[in-house]
Amino acid sequence: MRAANQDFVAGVVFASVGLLGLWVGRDLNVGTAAEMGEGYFPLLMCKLLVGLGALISVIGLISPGGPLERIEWRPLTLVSASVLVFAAALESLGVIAAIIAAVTLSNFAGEPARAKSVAVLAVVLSLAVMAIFVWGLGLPIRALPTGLF
Amino acid sequence: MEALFASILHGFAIALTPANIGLCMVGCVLGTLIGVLPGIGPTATVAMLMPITFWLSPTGALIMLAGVFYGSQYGGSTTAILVNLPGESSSVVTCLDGYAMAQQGRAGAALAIAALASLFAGTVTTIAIALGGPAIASIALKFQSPDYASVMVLGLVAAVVLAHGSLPKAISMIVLGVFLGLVGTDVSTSEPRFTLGIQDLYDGIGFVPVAMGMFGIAEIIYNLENTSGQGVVTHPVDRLWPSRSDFRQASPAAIRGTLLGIALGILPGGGSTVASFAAYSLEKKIARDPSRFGKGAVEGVASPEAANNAAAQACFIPMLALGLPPNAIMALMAGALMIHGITPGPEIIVKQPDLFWGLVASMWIGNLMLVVLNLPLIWIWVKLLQIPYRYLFPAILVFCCIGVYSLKNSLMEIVFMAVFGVIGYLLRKLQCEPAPLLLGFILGPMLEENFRRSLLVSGGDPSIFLTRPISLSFLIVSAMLLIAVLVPAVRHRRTEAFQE
Repeated sequence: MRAANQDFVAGVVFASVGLLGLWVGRDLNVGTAAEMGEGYFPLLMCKLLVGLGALISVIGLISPGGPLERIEWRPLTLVSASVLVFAAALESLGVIAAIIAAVTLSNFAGEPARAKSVAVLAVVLSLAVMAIFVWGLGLPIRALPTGLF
Repeated sequence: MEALFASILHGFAIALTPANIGLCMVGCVLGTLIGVLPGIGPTATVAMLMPITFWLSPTGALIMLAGVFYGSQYGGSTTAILVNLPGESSSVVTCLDGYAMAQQGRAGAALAIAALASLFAGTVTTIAIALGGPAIASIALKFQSPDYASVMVLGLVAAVVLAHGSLPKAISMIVLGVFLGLVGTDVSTSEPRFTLGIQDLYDGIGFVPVAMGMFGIAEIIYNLENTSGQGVVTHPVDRLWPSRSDFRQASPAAIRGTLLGIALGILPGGGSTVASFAAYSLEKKIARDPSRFGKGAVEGVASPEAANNAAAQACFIPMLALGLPPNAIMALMAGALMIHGITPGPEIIVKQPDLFWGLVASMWIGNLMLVVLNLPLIWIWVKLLQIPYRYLFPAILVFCCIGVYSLKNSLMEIVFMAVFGVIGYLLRKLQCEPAPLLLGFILGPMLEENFRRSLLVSGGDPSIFLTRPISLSFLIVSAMLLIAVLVPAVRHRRTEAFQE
């Protein structure tokens, strides 16, 4: 796949974001230079993005930069999933469950550690978070699931 | 002069309160820790600490965050010298001669030279900030909106010039950052923009989730594909004191490194990494026998280590005196001040003398603490180097999540952080550096406001930016910088400098 060079893709991404912005903001009031509406400056930025994106793509086609780097899906999906799982568990199941879930899931993002080490890590982190954020700073974070009190 | 003296004394009175000494200490220890550990940098750490600073005084917050930044410059050299791995990007060049010295059994001398050069640089830079900050601020007080708009353009242009990689890509990242910074309710018209009807976006995209996502989460993902997650083997540290001839060679190099570091730290877009590279090439160029470099030349450790510490502290001058963060980490510090309702700018020094002078004094105290932390206590950090990354990153992940949540007690913020983590990773795969985006994000709303106000005053006539001398000179410098990068000769040198 010779066409999939980095610069070309980057240019397409920037231009698409600009076009998307122009479309989402199509109803904003632009106004005049002397009296700018809320749309003047952001839409100007979007137009710049479209222009720059096109320029980058063209440069990429003329003199291809490096090839597109491989995206490592395992760390990408597992790390972001761990963050989302943490968010999902935090208010309903409490911070300790959220930590256990996030640590367990993220362990598979790299070279997995042994189950025992992961358990120790989860305990240490739970204690540290409780000490700093709950007991120390007094944040209103639930430690355990609702209904266990 | 007397007023300056009184101000500095006042600064020490602020910095020496138990709370602020404690925070300075915490910052320095943490800075050394993340400096020693490869794979986590000061930008990510400062982003992680942002929510905690919410509970501190603005002065205390800045003292701690500053400690993390310059502390990491000390810590980074330890790893570079003992393991031949840069603990930070700013200590990459220290690997060359530092590690060579360690192989010759002079690890202790290299560590001591690095720490003492840093201490010297820290002391000189502290004085430079005390003198230069108020001077620059007094000029900046005369700025009007066109001047502000132009100085921000200069800052953004310089950020592009000093970023590595393709120029149009870096400009695009800035424009994208400015655009993202504008999402939310418009200040002048109170109209929502680009909120997609999401309630959480009416106040704009939070700075903290963006910074933590792009620097914390994206970095974890990126690191996981490169490290197998092992610990490392270090060289033994023996005698710590360098010989007399080491001192004789290192002292002038440290002075040159310091001056270069201050100059490159003040420049918008500059920072400790650029400074250390520049210092190393300078030493190599002026040395009588350049072939010694890479084989354990003392100057090759002293000069870049002085330069990166000097630059790390000098960065504060444009941020505090102009309100113009010169790099991503200063953008974060500006963000930390804004959380407390303080807008960085020339009024800070006059209106918040505690903040400015307290910070200046704490930097000097912090540098003293760091020498103690990095020389007699070196064995602690050597031990820490053996912790595998696979235990570190889940901890970083959890602290990022809790931190970003605690700012508004909002789960949406954690989700935004994940989103920006993914965006940051994908952009990095396209060779687009996250730093210019963050700078644009911070400066975007200010740029819009000043641009709008300027054109309102001039009745829509853009020549207002060219008729005011201050504004005109900033624009000329910006244009010159851009032209300079496009000229083939300089372009070649720039590529070379980043490859070295």
